[in-house]
Amino acid sequence: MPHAVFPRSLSDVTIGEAAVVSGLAGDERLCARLAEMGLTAGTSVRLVRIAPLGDPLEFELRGYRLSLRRAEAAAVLVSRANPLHPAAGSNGRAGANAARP
Amino acid sequence: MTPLRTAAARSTRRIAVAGNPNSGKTTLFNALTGLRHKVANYPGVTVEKREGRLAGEPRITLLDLPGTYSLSARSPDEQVARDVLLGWTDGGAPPDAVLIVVDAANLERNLYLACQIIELGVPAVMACNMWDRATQRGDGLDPAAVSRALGVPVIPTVATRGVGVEAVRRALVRACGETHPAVGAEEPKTVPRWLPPEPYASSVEPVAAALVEHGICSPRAAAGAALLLLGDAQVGGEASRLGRRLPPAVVERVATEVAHLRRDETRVTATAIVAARYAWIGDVVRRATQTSDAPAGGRRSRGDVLTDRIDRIVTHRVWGVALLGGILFTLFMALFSWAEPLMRLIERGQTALQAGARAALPAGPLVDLLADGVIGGAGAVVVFFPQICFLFFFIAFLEDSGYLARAAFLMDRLMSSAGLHGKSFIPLLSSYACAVPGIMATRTIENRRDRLATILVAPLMSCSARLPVYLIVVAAVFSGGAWLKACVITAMYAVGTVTALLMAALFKRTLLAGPTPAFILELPPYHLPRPWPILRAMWDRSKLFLTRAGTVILAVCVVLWGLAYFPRDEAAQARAARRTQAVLAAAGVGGAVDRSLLPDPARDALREIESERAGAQLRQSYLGRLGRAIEPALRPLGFDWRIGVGVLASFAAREVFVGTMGVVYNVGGAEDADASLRMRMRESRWDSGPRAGQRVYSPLVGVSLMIFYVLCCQCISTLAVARRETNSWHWPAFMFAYMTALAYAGALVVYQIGTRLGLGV
Repeated sequence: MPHAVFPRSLSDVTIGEAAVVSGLAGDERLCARLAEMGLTAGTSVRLVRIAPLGDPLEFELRGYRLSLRRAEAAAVLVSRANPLHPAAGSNGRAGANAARP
Repeated sequence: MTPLRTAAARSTRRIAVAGNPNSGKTTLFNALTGLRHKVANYPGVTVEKREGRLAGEPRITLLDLPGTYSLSARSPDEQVARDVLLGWTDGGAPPDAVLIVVDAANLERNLYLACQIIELGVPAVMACNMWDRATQRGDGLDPAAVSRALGVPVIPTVATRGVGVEAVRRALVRACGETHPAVGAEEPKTVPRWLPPEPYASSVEPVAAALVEHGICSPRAAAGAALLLLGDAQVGGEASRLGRRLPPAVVERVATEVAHLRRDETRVTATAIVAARYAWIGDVVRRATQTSDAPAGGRRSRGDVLTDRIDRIVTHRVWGVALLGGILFTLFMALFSWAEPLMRLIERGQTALQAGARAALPAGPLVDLLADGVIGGAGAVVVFFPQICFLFFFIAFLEDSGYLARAAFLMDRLMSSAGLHGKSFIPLLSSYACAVPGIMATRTIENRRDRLATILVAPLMSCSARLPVYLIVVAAVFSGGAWLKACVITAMYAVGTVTALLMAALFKRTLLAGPTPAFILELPPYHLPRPWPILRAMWDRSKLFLTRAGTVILAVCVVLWGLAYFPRDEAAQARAARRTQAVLAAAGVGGAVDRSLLPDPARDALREIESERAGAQLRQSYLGRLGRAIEPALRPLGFDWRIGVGVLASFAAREVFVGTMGVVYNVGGAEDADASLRMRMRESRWDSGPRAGQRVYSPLVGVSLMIFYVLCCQCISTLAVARRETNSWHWPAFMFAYMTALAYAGALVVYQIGTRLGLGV
């Protein structure tokens, strides 16, 4: 899979897709909060669903479900999960369930 | 800041219970205390404080801290948790031990807070709750390994089924028994668990030293506390809050170090510190996980699968919205209809009490004060109680089951367009029934600005108390069919709702402006709520309404009673007494008789005399005079002094308007009071002024009056609850001012533009 030219964020992920957090960018308070919720570099995250009105989004990471607005998800930079190593990062839980549509 | 006291100085031992939201912390707290606890608020903030005794240990109390994800003081909840653990509250000493409750099925994120707490050096016991779910997932976690890595006892529990509760209880007693070394004494060095990267580590030291030097922290807590302070100061904004709690020297030291960190080329941010802690936690969990081939959480528990199935329906664009609608409909049914019989019962009880007081005591101002002022005022408080209980029952049920988070998930997009949070949805909706429970329901919103904005606009949603006003006015001024009246009333609800959303957007841009608070919401797995904790939560919150808001409401009711009661119109009283005697004499009875035995014409005559007396009294009371005095100000809205009296009298509660208008028009006690009031209002004409002789109530005046009631804050209960929930008179005063201004402006615009255009005059 070719590397994206501009950085992708969690707001660009498609439903069911697993991605690995590569960093946080934006307001420092927001970044600290997101990191405290477990969105640190190397964590794999899966987009579970999108709310009926298009926002917010529901993610699975570290074995739990977290809802973020698109604006906040945009602060979480990601790279695509490596399919050969579903356990990439500190926890492979989200990656293991990525097969569901 | 008082110097730290040693824990040994106190005879009872205090244990704080800390943990993430949804970790089952409260369930374990309930199991350990046997559901017996007191509920209060922490001083200065509306964060619920629950305290109870450890079962079987009369000298050990448990203090349930608010559920938080971290100890960084960015929300009131987090600040309270941090301050209690560090002994920075008014009590002045850290707890003797802390029980950390973690969700074993969600270990990494839960260990983040646990790690922060352990760094504060308080003897800790960790309960690995929801152990069954973790086992089903096949996590294969070894509690002993976690215990070794963290240096605290770790006990697997299933709090809902009581598994492990006794072991936790024993561990807590043991932790309290450990001799707590006095401040300054030689303490065992805590093992370095993880190390913040340089230059952070060298910034922690001077801050920690300053904390110890000023007697704010014990040496063993200092490093952890310094890390928290640095992290908070780095992301900015909380300096003032720190300043109020800490001596200036410490604040200065923190600021110097933060400036130093900012200048440093390596740019170690607060986020990097979080990541460093998480990296260490990841290591701990990996080492404690026995199954090496499949790392933590390869499988899903039955609960996970079920939650996914439910969520597919609950968050579906059709079924989910329909389900939300159904739940809200049930909530409304409960608030409007199911509470109705109970409210009637309370009203009947109030009437009986008033009659009893009048029968037992000699007539005079004192008994009038007791019956109408005190009992009437208390009734005005208690009558809300059933609605509040129902609402809190529903909210506790939805919260406990995990649904409330989904409702916020569904509605956030809609609410965010008004600058509000998804969690504002339920409080605003409840306000259609009554703003009092609605405002109390805002407690689920963590962000202070969002919560304030929701509280400020909640009373704009047309509550059930406005309905009687709309009904009587519509009936008096519109002669059209039922559909026209229904349309007008629906329009009033729409005006209130739209205004509420617009005002919320306005407040969020001006008064409560700030960075858009994040919508960071955990969607916990569903579970079946248990009845007793829900009933207990309902009772705790409802009781607070009675004790705190109730006293204010009662006081205002008594004052309003006095304004309408004094000065006495002696001439009217004497005239009424004379005429009553005459009627009784004509009916052939004298003195005190049971009036129900009188013939109908005599009874009607007596009622008319009483109505006239009450009308004359009100007209010349302070309230009546005030009504006349403000007539010039109300004339541009199309209101005469009688409406002015109604508006003033309904300051405490809107529905009083109807009763007051009845008294003003001398139809107070009539059997068909509503019908005759409608007639009188239609015939009512201006006494004086430029429109003397013209009819007062045109359809336009009716709409103007209704718009006034849509927008005004004529409800002392709302103001009292707003004061309680915001902890100051500042916000309710602002609420009253802006809503009254809005109501006046709204009615003025409607009447003036309507008159110019010749609409409905």
